[in-house]
Amino acid sequence: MIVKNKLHEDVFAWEIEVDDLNIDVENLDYKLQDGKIFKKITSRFENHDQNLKDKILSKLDIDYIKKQIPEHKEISMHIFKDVPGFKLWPHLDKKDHKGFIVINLIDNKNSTEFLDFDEKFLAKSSNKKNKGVFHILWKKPYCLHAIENTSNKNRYTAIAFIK
Amino acid sequence: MAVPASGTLSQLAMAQEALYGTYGSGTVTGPISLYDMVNGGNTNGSGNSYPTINTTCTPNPATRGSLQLTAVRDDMGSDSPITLYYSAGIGDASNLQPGHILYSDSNLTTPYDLTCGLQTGSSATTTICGAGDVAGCIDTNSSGVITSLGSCF
Repeated sequence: MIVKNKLHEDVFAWEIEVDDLNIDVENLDYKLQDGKIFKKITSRFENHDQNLKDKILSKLDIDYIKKQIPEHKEISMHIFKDVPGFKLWPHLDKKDHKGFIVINLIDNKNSTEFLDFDEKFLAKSSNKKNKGVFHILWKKPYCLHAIENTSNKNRYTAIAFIK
Repeated sequence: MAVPASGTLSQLAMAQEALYGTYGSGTVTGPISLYDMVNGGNTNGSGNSYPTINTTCTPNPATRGSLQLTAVRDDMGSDSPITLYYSAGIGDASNLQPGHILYSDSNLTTPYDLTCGLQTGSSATTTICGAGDVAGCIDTNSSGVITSLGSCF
């Protein structure tokens, strides 16, 4: 994982890039997300292949994450398919979430956006395949983040929740 | 005993019923405030403190009006914005505390179960926090009772 530029001076988020994962994401088996993270969302589906998740996890720079978020205790990897219409309004994650890494598994139309507490746009992460964002949560100045799929195609991402 | 369904009613006897369940007997110290009898306590100057009645019918009549808690987003803020309602007796939304009840309707009949709800602050009285702050996580149980209000940050 290569950590690149910071997206905005007031946002603790950096563009990242990983080696090509070579995953045929469109032909994986997905099940509706189980509601542990978002209880009402019915437009996000998840693949539960542990080998694939471990493969993606191995691409992350764990030492860098440890340096940036030394208090973290676990990293859980998820592979998501967000169907057209998927939307997470500007939100904060729960306090036990210390950060996250989003990796685009294809060229997606939309990417994570960061907003201030007046919900004014601050920055947007890359939407390109093998690129994404590393965001540290709960570090001042706080900001909100949001994502949606405004395209007519499925959106595929791998997200590492750092707790 | 109960208040008679017909005939002439006595305010003193109703006070006796409210205090002791003995319509027509029992010692009552005046004055007797109808407000206090209905809502409980003696904030309106009654000589006795009346029990809170109708505890299964919240809120009690004096606070039956509702106020809005606007643009609340459930699920850490990821859900679409909704308006919730609470008892008008609480006052501005900034007065909300754990123990208060949130409803999805202005008649305060349907409690709302929030999971880490979030509300962007503003100068309006319908938001918990002021402008530039965000309230969260706001949690309620299945009865709509606020169990955690988080903080403004």
